[in-house]
Amino acid sequence: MSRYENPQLPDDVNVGRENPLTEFLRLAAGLALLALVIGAALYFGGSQLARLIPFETERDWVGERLAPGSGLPAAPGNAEIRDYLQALTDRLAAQMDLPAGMTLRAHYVDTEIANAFASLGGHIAVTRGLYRRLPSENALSLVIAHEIAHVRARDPIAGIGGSAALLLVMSLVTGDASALSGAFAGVVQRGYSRRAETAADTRAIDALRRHYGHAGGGTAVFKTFAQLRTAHGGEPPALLSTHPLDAERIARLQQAAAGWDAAAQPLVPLRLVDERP
Amino acid sequence: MELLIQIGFFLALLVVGLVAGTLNERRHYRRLREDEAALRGILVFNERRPPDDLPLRTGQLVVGSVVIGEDYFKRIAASLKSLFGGRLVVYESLMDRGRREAIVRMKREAEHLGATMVFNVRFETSSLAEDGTGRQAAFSAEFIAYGTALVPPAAA
Repeated sequence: MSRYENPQLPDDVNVGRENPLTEFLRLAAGLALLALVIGAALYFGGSQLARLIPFETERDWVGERLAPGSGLPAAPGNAEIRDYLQALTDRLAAQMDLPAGMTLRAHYVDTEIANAFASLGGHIAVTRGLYRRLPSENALSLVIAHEIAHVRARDPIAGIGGSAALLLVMSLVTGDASALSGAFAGVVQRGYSRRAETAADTRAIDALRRHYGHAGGGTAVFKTFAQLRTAHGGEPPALLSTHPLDAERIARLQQAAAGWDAAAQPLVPLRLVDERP
Repeated sequence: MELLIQIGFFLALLVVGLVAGTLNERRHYRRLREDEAALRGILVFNERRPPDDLPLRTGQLVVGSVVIGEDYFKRIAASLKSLFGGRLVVYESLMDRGRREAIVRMKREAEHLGATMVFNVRFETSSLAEDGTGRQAAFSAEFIAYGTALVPPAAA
């Protein structure tokens, strides 16, 4: 009987020693990194493809109206001011070497939210909230020229193309991305890349210089945004975050306006005033 | 915002699963060690026949069974690991606990009968995860250990 016994054996041989939590965190980090790289590649690829769409096609899709979904009321503002914006847009566009066939359409949006944006199909919108707060035509021109530069670079359609590529693949992977898509579309379309903004700034300053002979008066735009920012308790209004403020951009504008003599080249006042309360 | 709430829920469940699951597992292992020490007197073997020179005893079937379920953390950690492959450590401990608990329960039944040995011990494991709808329900597994307890005539 001495052959039959149950000696005490180590009882932990059947379980891996690795801490499941560390392993989980490592794998999750790796997966997140992978998703980020693939997502970035998809977004970039989608936006590059979208840039290949001819501008005429883009304009035919969108039509005469401001694209819906911009989060702003469709009610048009003062028609005279819109005509003024359109004339200014055309004059600035003439200085910006737009490709043949690229037409621009200005809109004056009746809302107190201070914002300006370029949308699909060459539509450029300035809101009453922003217009009222701008001290000079030079400042307004900087804003418009910046948006024209976005249209010229095809940034609006590139943003949509990138998000579309991302959402398409996400819906293929998850089967049904309808829950995710809305949330992600908001995140993705939040703004253009820093590089696109910088390029647009550079082009806008250039256009300003050609049109007025100097690049002064532009920093007023940033001062306006800064005032709004403090008025909103330090937090920028959601729509403003599409044009992030940073010291770098202000510094570049000041540098561009360095040789400007305010006495010899006075700022042009806005031709029309929005008198609505 | 909606996405943030969803992510928040997910993370909360993950933490609950991790904390509760880890505490549970630790407590189970502690009890297992105590039970195993207490039942060391009952010998178990997987040989089909008792040795011929063993004094005559009656044989009786003894069964120990247990069902163990996963926690939310194990579930997510395992599905993440399944993307890359390799050992599923989170399930290794679950299966280990199940097998040992089944043996403990079987031994306890043998002890009840007054037996000191169990021969021909076998294991069965079955997953209760499939609910037939194709959707992955919470994973749980049943572990059965059974064998022939040899009961001395006096005790039987």
